[in-house]
Amino acid sequence: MKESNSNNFNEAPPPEMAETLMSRVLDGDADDGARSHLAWLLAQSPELRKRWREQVSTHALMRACADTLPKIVFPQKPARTFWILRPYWAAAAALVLLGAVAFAISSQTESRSIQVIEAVGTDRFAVGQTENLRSIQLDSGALRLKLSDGTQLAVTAPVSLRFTHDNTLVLDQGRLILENRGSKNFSVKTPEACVETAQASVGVGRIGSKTDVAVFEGAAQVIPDKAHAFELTGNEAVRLSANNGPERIACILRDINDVEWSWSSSLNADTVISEVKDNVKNSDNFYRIAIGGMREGVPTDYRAKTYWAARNGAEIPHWLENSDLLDMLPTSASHGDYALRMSISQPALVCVIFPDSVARPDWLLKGFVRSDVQLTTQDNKGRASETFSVWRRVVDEPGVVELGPVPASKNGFGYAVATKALSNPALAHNAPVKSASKLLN
Amino acid sequence: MSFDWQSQQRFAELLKSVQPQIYAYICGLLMNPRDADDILQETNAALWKKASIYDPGKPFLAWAYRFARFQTLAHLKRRKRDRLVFNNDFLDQVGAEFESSDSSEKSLRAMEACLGNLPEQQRALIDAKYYRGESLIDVSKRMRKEPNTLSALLYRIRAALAKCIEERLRILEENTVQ
Repeated sequence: MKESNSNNFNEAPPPEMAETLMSRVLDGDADDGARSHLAWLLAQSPELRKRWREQVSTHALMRACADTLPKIVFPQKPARTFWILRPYWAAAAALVLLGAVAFAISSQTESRSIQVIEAVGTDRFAVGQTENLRSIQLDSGALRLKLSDGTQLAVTAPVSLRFTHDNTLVLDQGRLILENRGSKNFSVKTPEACVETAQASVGVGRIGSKTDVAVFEGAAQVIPDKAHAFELTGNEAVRLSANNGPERIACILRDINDVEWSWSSSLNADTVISEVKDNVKNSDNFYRIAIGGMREGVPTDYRAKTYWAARNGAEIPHWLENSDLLDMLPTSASHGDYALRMSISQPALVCVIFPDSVARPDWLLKGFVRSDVQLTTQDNKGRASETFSVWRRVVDEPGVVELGPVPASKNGFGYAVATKALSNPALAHNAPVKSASKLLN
Repeated sequence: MSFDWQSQQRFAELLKSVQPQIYAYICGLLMNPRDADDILQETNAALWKKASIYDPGKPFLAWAYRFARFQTLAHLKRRKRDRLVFNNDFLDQVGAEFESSDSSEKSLRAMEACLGNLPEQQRALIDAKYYRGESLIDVSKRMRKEPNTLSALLYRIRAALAKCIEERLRILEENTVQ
């Protein structure tokens, strides 16, 4: 089957990918991931939008005509009698025998039953497909699979992995996210480490000869190849290599819709914040950046117990909406001489969403201008708690922006950061880059 | 403006005649056919409430699209905590594509004629999907074809029907002018 070489959403997609997605959406066979991908494609191309309009309009007319459609009796294929099938049975039996012999010889991989839950950008897999696989090699697209024990596996191309004995897989190259909600361990092995998980959501990546491990929920036991085992808990991530101990990964990107299997290095091509570092010692916490993620109702941090909302039912303004959002920072560490250094890759509007109940530090008063926009954090029932003001600053050229600590407060709230490129149409339309300072008025 | 029984009848016919176009607009924005059905009903209800202020001298569909867009945005706001959200730029771009197209109320009759020209197996697929409402998985099992294959075929069928409808409407317009 022809496979696309495009595994980066920033490259022009093959035409058949958009067609497949359009059809899946209209045929009721698309999930949020597929719709998200189609939306991205449509936003890039007027030609695709025209085709989408044609497809949807025709679909609507066909629905309207449903009652007048001529009834068609689908022709049934005649049943074959057994004696005609016998040659086929013999061939099938021979194949099974050959397969069994090959299986006995091979001791390195085992077949696992997989069900495809989501599939984008690949012709090899389709939603609903079930088959037994020994390995997965994906050159394009992304998949979410369900294994027979209920474990879910999300992979984004390029990826190569093999299933070995029960509840273990070997990741040769690429990135995956494992969601193991059961109590039985599931292990992911690379040459650098073995990662054991249970009741957790964990990302494992092997790029070159380095292994990254990030825990999104729960905990994972990490057993490096030549070092002592250690545990990682939620919001912690490390990089392991053959000759070095675990190094903290400070920043992990996710896409706007939190479709987790899009966690990929290709996501950071256009993000404003290209790197995040802090001076916290002995920490493996990472900062999550949600690309385009600042909007009504988005979680404030990885625990997802509170959500951002504009205060008093107002709208989030265009210059803030769909900014890249750096989650609310871990408050336990962001006191004292805490410093956060963000590398800004392009001219941008940088916003700090700071709690009103906390005394404003000098670095905020001197470096930013307070806007009249206020946000609140709300719980699942819509009850608002703390009020935050949005402070803004225009960064005219790539460089480093340093933010400081949060003064201690009884509520323990920290701050979040939102950034939007000045070249973004939402900003360019209302405030040209040349007069960027107007954004602060 | 008086909104008597006759006006109500005319409004009802107008509204009925553009149901496919309004549904297409909503579905095009939401990219979710199931939700689009619900939003269509909400749009129809909103249009009825304002029926008495509709100016018959103005294009009905453009007026109806404004209601459909409002209902779609309200739906998206209600579902703000769902994983999938579209930004306003996307909605503007896709909405503009529908609003600028020359959608004709005669399209339905043209569609009926074009359906009759399809090969039998393609009609069988459309019958299963649109008339009997079968899922793609069920149809694929019955036809012994991969769901992806059927999906691609449906895409081509819709593209061919769109072309056929466009051609029929063009011929109809030429004949009318003459």
